[in-house]
Amino acid sequence: MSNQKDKVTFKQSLKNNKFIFKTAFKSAPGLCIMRLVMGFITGLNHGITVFLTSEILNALDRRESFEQILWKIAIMAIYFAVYQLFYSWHWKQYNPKHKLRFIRDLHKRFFIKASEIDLSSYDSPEFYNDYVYSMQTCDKSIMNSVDTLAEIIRCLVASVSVFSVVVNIDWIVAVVILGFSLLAMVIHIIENGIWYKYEKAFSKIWGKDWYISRFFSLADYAKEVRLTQIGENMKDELQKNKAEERVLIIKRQKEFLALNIIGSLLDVAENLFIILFMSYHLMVTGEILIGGFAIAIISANKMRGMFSQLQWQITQINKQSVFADKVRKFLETESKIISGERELTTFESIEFKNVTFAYQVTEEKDGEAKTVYALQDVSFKIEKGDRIALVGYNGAGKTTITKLMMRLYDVTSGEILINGVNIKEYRLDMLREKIGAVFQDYKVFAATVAENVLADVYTPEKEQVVLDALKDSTFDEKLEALPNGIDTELTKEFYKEGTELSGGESQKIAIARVFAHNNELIVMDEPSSALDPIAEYNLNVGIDKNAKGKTVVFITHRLSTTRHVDMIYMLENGKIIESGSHDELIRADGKYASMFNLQASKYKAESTENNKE
Amino acid sequence: MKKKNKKNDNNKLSFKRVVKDCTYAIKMVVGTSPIAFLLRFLLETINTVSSFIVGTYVVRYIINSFETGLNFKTVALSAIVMIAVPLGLQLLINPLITMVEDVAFVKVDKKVLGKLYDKCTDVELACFENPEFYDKYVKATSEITWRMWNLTWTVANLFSAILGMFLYGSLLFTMDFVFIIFAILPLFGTFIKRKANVLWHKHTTEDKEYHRRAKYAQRVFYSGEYAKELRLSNAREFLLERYEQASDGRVEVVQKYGKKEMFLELAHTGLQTIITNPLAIAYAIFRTLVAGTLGIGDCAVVINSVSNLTGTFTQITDRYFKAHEHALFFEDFRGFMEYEPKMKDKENAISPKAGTIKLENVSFKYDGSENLVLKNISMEIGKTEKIALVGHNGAGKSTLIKLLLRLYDPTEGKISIDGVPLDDLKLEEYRAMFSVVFQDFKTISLPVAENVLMRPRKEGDEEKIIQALKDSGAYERIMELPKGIETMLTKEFDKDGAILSVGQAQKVAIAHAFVKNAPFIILDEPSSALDPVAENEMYNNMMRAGEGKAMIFISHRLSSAVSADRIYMLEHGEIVESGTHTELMKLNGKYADMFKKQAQNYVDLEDGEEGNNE
Repeated sequence: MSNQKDKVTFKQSLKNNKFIFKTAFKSAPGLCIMRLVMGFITGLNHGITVFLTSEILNALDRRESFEQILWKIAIMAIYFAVYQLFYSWHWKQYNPKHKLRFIRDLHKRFFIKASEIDLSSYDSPEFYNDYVYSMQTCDKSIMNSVDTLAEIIRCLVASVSVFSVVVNIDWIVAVVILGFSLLAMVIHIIENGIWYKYEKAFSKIWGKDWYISRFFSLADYAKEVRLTQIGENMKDELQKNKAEERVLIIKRQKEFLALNIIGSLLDVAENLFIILFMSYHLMVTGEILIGGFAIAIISANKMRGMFSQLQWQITQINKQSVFADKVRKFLETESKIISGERELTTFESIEFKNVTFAYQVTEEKDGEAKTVYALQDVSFKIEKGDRIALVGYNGAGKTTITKLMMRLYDVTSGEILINGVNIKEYRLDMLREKIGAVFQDYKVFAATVAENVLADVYTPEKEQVVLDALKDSTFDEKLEALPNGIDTELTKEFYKEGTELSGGESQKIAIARVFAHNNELIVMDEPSSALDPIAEYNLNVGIDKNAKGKTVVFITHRLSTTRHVDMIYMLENGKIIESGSHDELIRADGKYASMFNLQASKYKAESTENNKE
Repeated sequence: MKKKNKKNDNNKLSFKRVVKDCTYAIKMVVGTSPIAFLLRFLLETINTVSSFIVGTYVVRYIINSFETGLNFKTVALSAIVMIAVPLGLQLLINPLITMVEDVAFVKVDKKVLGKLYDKCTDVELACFENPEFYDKYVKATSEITWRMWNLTWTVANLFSAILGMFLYGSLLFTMDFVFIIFAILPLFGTFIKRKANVLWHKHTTEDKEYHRRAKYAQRVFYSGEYAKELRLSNAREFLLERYEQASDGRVEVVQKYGKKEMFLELAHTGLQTIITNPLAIAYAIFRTLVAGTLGIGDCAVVINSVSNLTGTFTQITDRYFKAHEHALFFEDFRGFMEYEPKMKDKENAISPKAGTIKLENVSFKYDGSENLVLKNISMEIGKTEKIALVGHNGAGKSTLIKLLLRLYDPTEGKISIDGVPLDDLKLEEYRAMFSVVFQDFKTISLPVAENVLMRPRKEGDEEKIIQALKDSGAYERIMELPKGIETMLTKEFDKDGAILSVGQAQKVAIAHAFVKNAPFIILDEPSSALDPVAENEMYNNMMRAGEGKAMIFISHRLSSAVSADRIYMLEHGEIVESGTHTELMKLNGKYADMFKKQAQNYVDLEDGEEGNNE
């Protein structure tokens, strides 16, 4: 049963490897062909070496003249010189250069693909763990497929060419060597099956090892490790993990043991047979001469070496297929969010109509499939120039609404209309161009300040845009302190002298990004969370000034911001439970009012104190 | 440490140093599992001997016997014995190795990692925040066991190569001492190889910088953290541009060194295959055919074993350079393991007692930085006081907390508790007096219970954990999880592991403070990820946890500072104002300004409402 299963996977793995090889060949045909040619030539080299040696030894047997033999040796030296030259050229010049170019092109292709697949793919842990890892190693895994093929060619060519030399000397020896090699191959295949069987259990253990290692060596946990005893827990985990690994290894090695002994016995038998059989021919029947005897021994050893390498390479096919499969799935991932064709020139209104959305359609719980909705039946309309605020508890669905607006996800049911037309009909790039967003988890790129603000390639004529945006986001004070102004490199990723910004400063850069673009709809997801009160105040002034006449959606915990907005939507568990202006909601004395009062209570108490004085 | 850094930059170690570093590593392996090391050594030795006997010695014996006309049966019998002995030994050792080696590896791994992690825990936090130290030492250790293990193979292999050199060398030498010339000739190859290695190091060092940059692009495109931005902006364009520049830089490096490397490689291998081997063969044939002083059997053996002899030279140099490569790692590893933490308990260190913490003129700057992050800070934290630290981003609040926890020592000034300076106290016990919730708290891939405890489990902990979770408000959500407090957090090890929202994770972190019940509580912006209701709940919970204890909190939301016993306002690393909320409001300084700006909307409303009421 299990054997059959393995066979299927082997077939599948061949298919996967074929796909990967095609991918490689398409982007770098020269590199691939040269690599295969190299495999062929190095394989042939083994045959030629044996052949030339046997020529010299045979000449010795035939008592040819010294001069004649000297010529043969000279030819051999010349052959080696040419071969070495080619070999060095390929490995030191051609291959490294073209491989790097290949990696560059491949990664670029993957980068573009990665930036185009749906965001929802990132929500699935499977995608994240499997695919991201394989994408990071795609250059290696793809080149490995080509390498393996080249190595297989090498071993095959070498085996065949050496085999033909041996057949010429004595076909029985040749056949016996072949037979022993095939037996060894069977053993290897069984061994591989055992490896395969345990692989999953081991990868789990190694994964844990890797986590523990990160736990201790990354700065992330360093503080906790020093202040608590949590390090002890992790050391316990290490002990447990190693004990588990030990048990598993012993179990696996026991299975290997018998195979190992059989393998060694075969080795002894083969060696004895060749030596005895050949010396019998040499000493008793006289069928071969001394040269032939020596060459047969050399070739036999070579052939055995080649066969065991061949087995190893074939096992590689299986291993690579795992990567190959992931790469293939990644490349074949189809985006579900498809751009429409309608142009979007001006923004007039956006409307949610009975929008329901779930990140994952179903979640298994206690055997029952249950859908967890992030939004349920949400309806509202925002007109141009409106300022609205989305408020509510953590996880109420506020951020999800903004993600749907930008079509980072598509609604599960219901529809979103812009200017009365479903957003799916608009061109995606034009839609996203109209919307600017500052997310809670904003990121600063390792690039210049200007590039970060523009989130695009910088050209000098955009200087004023950048400066204005930075001023509005209250970054201007910091800007003066930067060594190269807006050309200053951020982060130390590229340059040691790059500037690292604090959390608050980074957020200002992210906010400037929105100001720099002439977006018509601006989404501010907790824009002030990392800012201190003064910076928050200045930011609010900046937004007021810059966003005049624009539509702004605030998501905030600090309800002080919501006072000025036209409309507040209070969300709870994915539903809008209250809506209205601040005053209306306070008067309604519902959840918003109680939330607001809670926050204001401290300040209120203070203000009354102040008033009294 | 600085000296060592310099040495490593050259990526070259002296022979003495290589031997020293490798001995260090081997000692560690042998100390843990001598049998595995011994077996590997034996196996490599027997492999060399048996391939010498089977491939060369027996061949020579048979040919010579044939020439002297010995009887086949006698020859066959001797040949069988000669072959069977070494191969039989191999047959014995192979299964032993199968059973011993991998298990021994786990044992060594466990020991080395245990030591390593202990050290990671001991060195001061500054080491982790110093990128140079970090790159050089901490990161380098990730493959340490594998390197150690590989070294034992390398050394065993080196030894067997030397043995092989003697075997083949002496065989050839007994036939004709002239052959020694052909053995010495390839030694020049070693010099070429050394040159090639130096060049290669230069090559890789130059490449590293570009490679690092190229990797940055990979991280951005694949990590998911940047996924939203990439979809919503054109940042892709300049990132691709930068990636391309880095990649082209790598190609340029290859072009710069490729040609030289090619010729060195050619010279190195060519010396053997193009010059030495053909010359040796020609000489042997000359001796046989022209001079007639060498038997045809010996001649065949020479042709066969000259390349074996030169092969051992290649093997020896290869293994040495491999050992050199490992040694560079061990150098770093040793540097790390032998690094003496600057913060160490004094011999007569005493156990601390909770009391008043006093900071006197404390100044601080990070290593290698010119700027003082804290300047002349003096403050007092009473046994049951609530202290608020407020100020702009980067004013030095978090650094101050780190000094309080003795994660760093002040550059100048003194911190003491009831008059006893911190460095007179037992560090571990001192830190144990604090419960801390950091801004960047982390969930750890362990069960919820252990995330709350942050120490190994003991009997009776369960109730405490549940109570703490109730106090921090996380209880309900945790109990909804399939295995309650035994649920694994994160999906790292357990597919059914739970991923908590930031708010929930924070509550778990706060539950730790409850369970620890330490005399000092430190909260670094604990409510930044919470919604107002949850924030308020948390705030009240924390105040309850802090009853009768000292509490220090950093918050941007000044509303929580109102009830503090004392507020310290920091600016550019200095305390600019201090006092109670009322005092500071009266002072009408920076704090008052900050507070008013934040309270504005709420206060306005208050006025407005009053207005409406009237």
